[in-house]
Amino acid sequence: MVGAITRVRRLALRRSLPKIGWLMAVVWCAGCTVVETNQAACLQEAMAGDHKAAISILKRANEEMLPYRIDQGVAGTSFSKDNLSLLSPADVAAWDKILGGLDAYCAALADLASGRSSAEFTAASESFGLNIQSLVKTVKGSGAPSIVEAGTAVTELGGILIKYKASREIQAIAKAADPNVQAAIGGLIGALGFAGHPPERVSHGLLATYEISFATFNAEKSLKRFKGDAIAGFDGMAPTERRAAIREFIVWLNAEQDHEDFVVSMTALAAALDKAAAAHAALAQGSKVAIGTAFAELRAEIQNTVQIYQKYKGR
Amino acid sequence: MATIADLEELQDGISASIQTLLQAYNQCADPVESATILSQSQQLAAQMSQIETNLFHQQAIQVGATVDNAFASARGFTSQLKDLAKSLDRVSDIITTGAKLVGVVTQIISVLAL
Repeated sequence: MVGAITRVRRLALRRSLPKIGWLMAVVWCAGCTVVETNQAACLQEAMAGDHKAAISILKRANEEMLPYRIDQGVAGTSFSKDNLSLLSPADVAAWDKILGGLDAYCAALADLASGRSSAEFTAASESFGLNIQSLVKTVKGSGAPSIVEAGTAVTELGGILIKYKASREIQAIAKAADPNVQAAIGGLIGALGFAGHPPERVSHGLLATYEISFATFNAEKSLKRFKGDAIAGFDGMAPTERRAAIREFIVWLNAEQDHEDFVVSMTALAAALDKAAAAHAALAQGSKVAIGTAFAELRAEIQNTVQIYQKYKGR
Repeated sequence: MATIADLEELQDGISASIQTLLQAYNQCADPVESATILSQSQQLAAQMSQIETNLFHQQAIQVGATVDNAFASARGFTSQLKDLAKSLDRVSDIITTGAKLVGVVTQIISVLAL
């Protein structure tokens, strides 16, 4: 009797084994390609933060450079509006629109991942289309080849969203869109003055220019008067001179700190942009392990970009 | 045609040259020489900033033979200043080369689009 039951169980088990195998295969495959709602939302949050931080940094770069532009202008023979800005306002506005396009694309992906209705995804795609119309106008106004290239890359994201929306496959969309996303983000990282993965500073570009201007126009203070973070010749000064020197020294230390903060912020922004690009590439690749690693790193960066924006917005 | 890479290379060269000038300024005790070196480094920084406006806009520039020669000369002078970083006591050589570099970069700046 017991032997008969065991035989029946073995037979049932043998019959169900292929089904269990299929089930495991399905689960494994789903594990390879699944894009969780919170990952798409995380990418959207990161991209929105990167956008705000990037524009505040570009505008701040113009403000930081203003004293040096004035000094440079004094030595010249003419002075116009163009002399006031290191970065042309049209170029900054164009990057604002390009990053806005990337925001809208990530928002559409997040809508799709959240399992909302097809109508909501269609609305998100259409809103992307509206963003792109103004992007195209602004990019044409800038006329810079790299900006036109990044603008074109972002414009094409709209076509990809429309093409793949019926399938509602996030990985397929990310895969098709990835070269465009990498081109747009990589263009901005390069313009900030960084290269490689992770981004390393180079001796040309925005950051290098800012650093050189700060170093030369403050050389008298940093290398002579306040060399080694101390007041030179303090011992030989009269009390009134000492007071004046100390006040100047405090102003200098604050300026030096602001400078270091700005350099750190630009470096953090380049790293955050690189992590966002890496997270999108992982989505496109579809490997669960790569997605897990890339998004863990991206989440860690989000707070940095929020802080950058808070520090430099409308200062 | 000067490419974006040419402008980036020029910025790299100016950046290294300014480092040499600042090192020389740091060591120089003569007030007149110090002031000259500092002024040169500031002029080069201003020129680098003008190049950056163009570079951020990523605008290649149409250049004639004169500016082509200026790019070649700039490469030579930045290379000389890089070498002079090893012998910072040769202040007069640094000042002479610095002045030549400022001069050739001025020629390049004159044809930038922005």
